[in-house]
Amino acid sequence: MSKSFAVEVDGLFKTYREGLFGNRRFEALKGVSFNVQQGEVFGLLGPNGAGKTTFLKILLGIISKTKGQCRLLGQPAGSRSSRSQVGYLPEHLRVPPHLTAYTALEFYGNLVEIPSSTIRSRRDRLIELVGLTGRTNERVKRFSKGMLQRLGLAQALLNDPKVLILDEPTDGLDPMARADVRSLIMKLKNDGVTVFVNSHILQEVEMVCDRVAILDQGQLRFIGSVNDAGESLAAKSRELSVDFVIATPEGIEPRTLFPERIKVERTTSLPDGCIDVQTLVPDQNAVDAVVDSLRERGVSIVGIRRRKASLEEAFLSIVKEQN
Amino acid sequence: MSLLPYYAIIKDSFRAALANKVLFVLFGLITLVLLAVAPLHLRESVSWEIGPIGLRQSISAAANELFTNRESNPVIANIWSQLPGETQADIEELVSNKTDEAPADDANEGRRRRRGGPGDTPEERLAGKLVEDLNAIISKPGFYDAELWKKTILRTEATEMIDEGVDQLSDIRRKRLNRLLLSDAVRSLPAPESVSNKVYYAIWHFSFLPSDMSRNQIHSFVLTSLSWILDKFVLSIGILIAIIVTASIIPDMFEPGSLNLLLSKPISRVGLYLSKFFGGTAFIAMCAVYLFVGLWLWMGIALGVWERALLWSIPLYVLSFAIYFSVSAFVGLLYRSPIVSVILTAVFWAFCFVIGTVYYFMNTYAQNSQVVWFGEYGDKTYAVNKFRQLEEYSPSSNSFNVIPISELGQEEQIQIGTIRFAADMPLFRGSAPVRDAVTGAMGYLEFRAFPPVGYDSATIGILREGQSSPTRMSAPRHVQLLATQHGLVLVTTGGRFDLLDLDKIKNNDGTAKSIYEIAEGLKEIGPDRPIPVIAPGRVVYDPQTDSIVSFAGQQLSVNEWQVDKFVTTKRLKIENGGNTSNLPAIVGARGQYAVVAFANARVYLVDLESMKVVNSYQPETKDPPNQIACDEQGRFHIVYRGGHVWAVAPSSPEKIVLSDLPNQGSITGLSIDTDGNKHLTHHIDRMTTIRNGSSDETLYPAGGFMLTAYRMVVRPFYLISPKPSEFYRVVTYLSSAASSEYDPSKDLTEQEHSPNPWSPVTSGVAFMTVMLVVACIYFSRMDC
Repeated sequence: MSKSFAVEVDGLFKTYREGLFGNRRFEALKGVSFNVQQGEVFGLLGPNGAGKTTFLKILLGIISKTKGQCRLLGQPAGSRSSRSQVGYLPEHLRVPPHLTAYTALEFYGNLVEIPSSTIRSRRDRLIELVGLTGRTNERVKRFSKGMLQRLGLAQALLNDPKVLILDEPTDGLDPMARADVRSLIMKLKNDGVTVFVNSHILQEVEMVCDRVAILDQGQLRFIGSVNDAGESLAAKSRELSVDFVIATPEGIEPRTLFPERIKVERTTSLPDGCIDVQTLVPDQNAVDAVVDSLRERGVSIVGIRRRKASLEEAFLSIVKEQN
Repeated sequence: MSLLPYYAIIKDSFRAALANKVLFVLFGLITLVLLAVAPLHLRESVSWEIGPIGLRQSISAAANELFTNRESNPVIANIWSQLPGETQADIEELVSNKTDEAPADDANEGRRRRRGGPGDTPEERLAGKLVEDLNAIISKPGFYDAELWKKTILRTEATEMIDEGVDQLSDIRRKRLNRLLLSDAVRSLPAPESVSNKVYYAIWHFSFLPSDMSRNQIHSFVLTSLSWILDKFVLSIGILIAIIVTASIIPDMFEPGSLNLLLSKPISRVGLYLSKFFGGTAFIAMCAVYLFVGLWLWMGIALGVWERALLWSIPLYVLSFAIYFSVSAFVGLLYRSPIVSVILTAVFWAFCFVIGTVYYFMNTYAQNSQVVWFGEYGDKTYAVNKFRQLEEYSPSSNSFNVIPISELGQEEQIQIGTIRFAADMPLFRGSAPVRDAVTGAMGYLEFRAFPPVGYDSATIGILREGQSSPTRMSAPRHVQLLATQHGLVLVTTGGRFDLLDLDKIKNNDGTAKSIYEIAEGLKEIGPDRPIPVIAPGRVVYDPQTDSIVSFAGQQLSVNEWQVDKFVTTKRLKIENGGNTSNLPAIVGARGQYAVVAFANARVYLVDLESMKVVNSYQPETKDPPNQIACDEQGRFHIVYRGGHVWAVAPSSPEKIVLSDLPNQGSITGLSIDTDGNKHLTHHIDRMTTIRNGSSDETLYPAGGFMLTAYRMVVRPFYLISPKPSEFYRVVTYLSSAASSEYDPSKDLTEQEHSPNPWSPVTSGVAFMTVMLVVACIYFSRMDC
């Protein structure tokens, strides 16, 4: 395995044993394999129970793997040396309520062996970075969920990590803060930090991630760039998504202008009086036939464009396909 | 590996404690306790009263002096005349009873005490009365009459006060003068202390405490009371509060979003768990430091006693908490619930308490049953149990049955039962039976000791052949019985040898009369200058040389039979080095040689012909010796309390070696009969006879349900369970008031129940370590 990978996973299995004698088994991961390049922003997607959290826990050494290989920065996942180079923001972060932002940073910083004096020199910059200025000596029990997330981000960045693992990083954040987090991720990426994002908010992932992996029922269903996800969906689809922008004579219902074998998904009136008709057509011949038909009926075709699938559509398609 | 992360976790525990005010609540409670004890203090004042403690010790002599001189000495006559008639009558009765008795011997004390019954001897009753009466007399202003006292030699302090002018003295100084005068007149009264110590709580005097308690006695009383209070409250309520306060430390760690973040950091799970554990323990340690340093300062300032045991209590009670906290933390790890942790820890505490209590009672029963000597007489097998009761073996039931020697009334039986179980005291002691070479009768001793109520005595039993029940005689405690060629010899604590004429001491009515009430049955047979022998085991008879060898007053004495009595022919002083010269010891003799084994395990081999020490040895043990037996080859086998037997052979005196006996380490007793057969008893109630020229025989007497349950269930559970409730033993052991282990009067042949004082600590540390190791392994392997 190459050292240029931040995360290397090969044939990873995790089986939970339950019951009094461990006789009930549940396979959370079934031979997952993929790599994450250093400096990459990587998104891990999947429905609930797909094995995302299990994977992250194995990566951080919180639970043990059953079989396979998992390495972080060239070290066995969970080793102390690999964990010392990681920043982690867990989902549903809970900071001991008696701490303040400052004392929390000192506590978590000490846990990664950063002396208190160093923490004091770094904390104000981090507090400002995550937008907690002015709340530094306030007990965290008074913090909102968003403020806790910000504090969680700050503690994750204390040790200048080479890999930042964010589990639902924008959970509880307002739109402004989400934008700030996105900016931060992009900044870290530029600094060469590998960012591993686990999120349900696919739009966020789509906006920041270079590549994504989709896990479902413990198996890797997809890995590639966000664009690849759309392309993949388009390639798999039997129909073409085509948008027609037309100018119709008054009083004519746009749907009636299309042959029956063409599925009209939605029509939208545009400000300039034109109508955007989103359709699904079986093939290129059908597209040509629609153009001919519209022209025969005297309809002006202002524009035609082929529509790309979003990450969400690709995700849903992949997951639904497997189920 | 950096310790910074673990320090941070411990520091966080303190932050949490400070934040949720628990620490302040505990500090507040401790402050209330300290404020409650703070008013207790000691006041010194001019001593003028006679105290009950001192008078009780010298009551016989004082009564005798008062009675004897009541007419001849005008001062005493004056005092006598002021005593109430009832007190005068009691003094007269006591003195007249005393003069009626047999030859003066300190051992008669036992018999006189017995007459009064436990806790209520005539001497004690009289002492109580006399304290009140004499104090009333010296309180009166006109006690000093110059004319009356002119012939009495007065101490300097008294004469100086008289010179000042009696009328000029303050009331308290006048009483002090009267007290000095009284002691000068009745010399056997205890000497007056210069100051008296009285215990006060704020302005209230603790009048129930004796007025002549010394500072050390008050110190001991306070420490004992404090130990009891700490034991009952700190170890129960205090630890329960501490467990409740700390129960959430481990479960809190498992809250979602908390544990994953902690485990993602580069710290070990073992370190994380132990840091949380020691964080909680350190938090309680702060409270313990505050409490015990507070008490220590109070005792030092208010009572003038800087008691180190209180400072030692800090680590001990913190350890006690840590033992239960190790359980609470492990339960928290398993169930992740503070409530379950508290409940299961309380259940565990109850389990330890029940096991400890059951063990306490059953162990006493088992101790009673343990055999420390056995041997054969004719076709019968006899044994002596741990409390030195004689038992006869019954082959049909494969058990030993106690031959009742004492005549106990129902009330006495109840008292004995109560004291035996409540105070864990060996009430019966005695010696191995001896066989009279003249009549063939077997004689044995049984001592009864009731120290709490001042009641002790011994009973001598003589069992003749064909007799089913013994002839009994009461005797003073610590007499010894030796079987000599001339008959059974009674050795008194005064060091005198009395030959028992068994034909003249028939006691046909079956009651246990005093040996001195059958005085015609005793014949004094030496020595000319007896040396008091405080404890058994220091006198032995050697049939080879027909001599009695004793070790007393640091002197080894050889008393040889000459014509009709034993005469001291040789003496040798054995120093045993420096400060340990007063150590108790036991002695063994055979032919030309004798051995003396001291409580510090050191052994001296002495040549009795030249009266020189051949060699001295230090076996690899720190246990005191219990018995010495000599085999046919002349080797001395010394049985040590720890269960090992070491041997010294005069033929190769250069070293001491472990005896070639089986089951070394578990031997409780060894006897070697005239045929050279060795009879061994073991801790596990097994008895082995090693016969000359034939195979060994081992006896496994049936133990019954109680002993089986004790051995198979109760003892194993007790051994593995922690014993924090016994930490008071360690505190007492460490206290400056604790007595030396080697009391010169200690009887080494009595296998006293004196467990290792550190055993609660070692067992507690072992249990806690096991709990922590199990928890760490579980936590390291668990998927969180």
